[in-house]
Amino acid sequence: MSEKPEEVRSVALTDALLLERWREGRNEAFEEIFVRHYATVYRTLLRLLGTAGDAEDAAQEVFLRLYRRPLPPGREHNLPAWLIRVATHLGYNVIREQARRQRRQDTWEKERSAGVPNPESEALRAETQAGVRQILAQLPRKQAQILFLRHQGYSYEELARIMGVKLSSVGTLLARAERAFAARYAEHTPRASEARGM
Amino acid sequence: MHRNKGRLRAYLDKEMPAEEARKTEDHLSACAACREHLETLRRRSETTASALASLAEPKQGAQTSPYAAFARFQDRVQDSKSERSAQSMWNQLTSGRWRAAWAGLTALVVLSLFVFYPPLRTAAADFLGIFRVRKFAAVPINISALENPTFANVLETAFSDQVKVLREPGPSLTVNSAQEATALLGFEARLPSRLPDGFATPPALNVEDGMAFQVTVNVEYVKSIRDALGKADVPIPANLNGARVDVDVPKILTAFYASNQGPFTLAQAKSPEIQVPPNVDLTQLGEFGLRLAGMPADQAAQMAAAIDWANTLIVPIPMGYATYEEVSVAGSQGLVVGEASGTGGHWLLAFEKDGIVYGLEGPLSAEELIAIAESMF
Repeated sequence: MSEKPEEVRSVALTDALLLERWREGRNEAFEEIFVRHYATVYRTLLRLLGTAGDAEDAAQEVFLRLYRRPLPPGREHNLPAWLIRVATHLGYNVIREQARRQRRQDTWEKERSAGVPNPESEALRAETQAGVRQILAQLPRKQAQILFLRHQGYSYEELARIMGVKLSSVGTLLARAERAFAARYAEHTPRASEARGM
Repeated sequence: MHRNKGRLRAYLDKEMPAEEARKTEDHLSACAACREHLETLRRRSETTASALASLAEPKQGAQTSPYAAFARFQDRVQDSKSERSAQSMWNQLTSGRWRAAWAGLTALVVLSLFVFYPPLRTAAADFLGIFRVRKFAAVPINISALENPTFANVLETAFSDQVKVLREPGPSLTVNSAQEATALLGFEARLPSRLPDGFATPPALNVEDGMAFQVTVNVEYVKSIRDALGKADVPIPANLNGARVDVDVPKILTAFYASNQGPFTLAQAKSPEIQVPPNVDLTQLGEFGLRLAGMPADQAAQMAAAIDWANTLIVPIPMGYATYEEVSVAGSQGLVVGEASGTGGHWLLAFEKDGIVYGLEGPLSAEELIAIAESMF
């Protein structure tokens, strides 16, 4: 079997129609949904989680959820919004789990030796990323989700749809989340914050 | 009027209608407090943005083929199906028409591990003299072995050939009160005097008729079951061939209380009775069952020796799917079993008191089940 050439799929069925067919038990409709949206879900998770393996695992889980429990009929679904919501929901679980493990390891390493700072920039970057994920993991799920998604460039309208909140409350949610994040970030990297005048 | 922080934050992102933005600007030029507030929001937003910018896409792994991913997805669906079939087997054991059997601990659940699947019309030799439930022991079993289709087939044939029904069960009867049930059961039916909120009373009461059957053990079948489980190295207990095992399952009363969270069911019955020829060594047989269920040899030997096989009900606990704990209830020793993965809201409690076996099951915590059980006495 070879990959389907793009032009063969010339008639783009709407997500709603594909979901309908999938509910009727037509497996090819699910494949179509998967192929259409996989890259978006995967890349979102790749940015959130940082490694291809974790991102793929979580992306597969997102589609497994859809597969096991198709979105019910009779309601207008925004499939991309649903997928991104579930993806960031599961991604959040992963970074929380990682943060928990990290804390255990940190304790263990501190006992072993006094931490020697690694001057290499690659290592520093990895450390910053890990720090950011740890802070996200400490925030309530909705706050972590909205910060991450806003940074992915989603508009307020899209955020409202993904998060299932009113458009008018996106600003408030975001402001609250940034406040919580910035406070923790300052604790985490006191010198960096001082330099920035916080 | 001051702008709230949500609106100011939206203003920062230019996420508001032009008219509102213009009004906000007007207000800001006149209000130092709001300007300061806006500045704070901006600083936090910039800090956050620069921190989150570190979560850029790594170079490795950025490329992916959705088709290849879909192929892997299909493998994963296959895997999860077998996982789920184990789960549904567990559900089957604890629900529907087997619930009463499970809760009332009818013979088929009672019996040795190697016959508990496919559920429950099967039985085999396991107990010396007359078996009666006095105690419970949870035995963790590795359920994946039992999913093997060859095993299921062999078991099906083995038992359809060897089970003789001695007394067919009659239809189940609906009764209107505990007194009515008592007359049918031959012991005093008990209902809880206390239930958590949300359960409809009075309950629907049913008396399921009992049955009796005899199993003749054909050791060739036992061997094929053992081999289908991949345990050809486990020795067959002595004197098993041709052994006749009589099983008598008494009437069971079930009380069914509906709720929004799902029903709570209470079952009660006299203990089932099982007779095994005296020359069959129960400890040996128990050890055999434990090994077939996936227990390592030394552990099986140790556990088999510790169990009083003539009085202990073996409750198979599928590893990874269920969790259990021994508890004390109304002065007796009991066992609570719950789904390991569940949200924790679904438990089963089994115990014996004064010759009667009780089973309670529903969307309740172990503590709630124990409290209900104690309110029956």
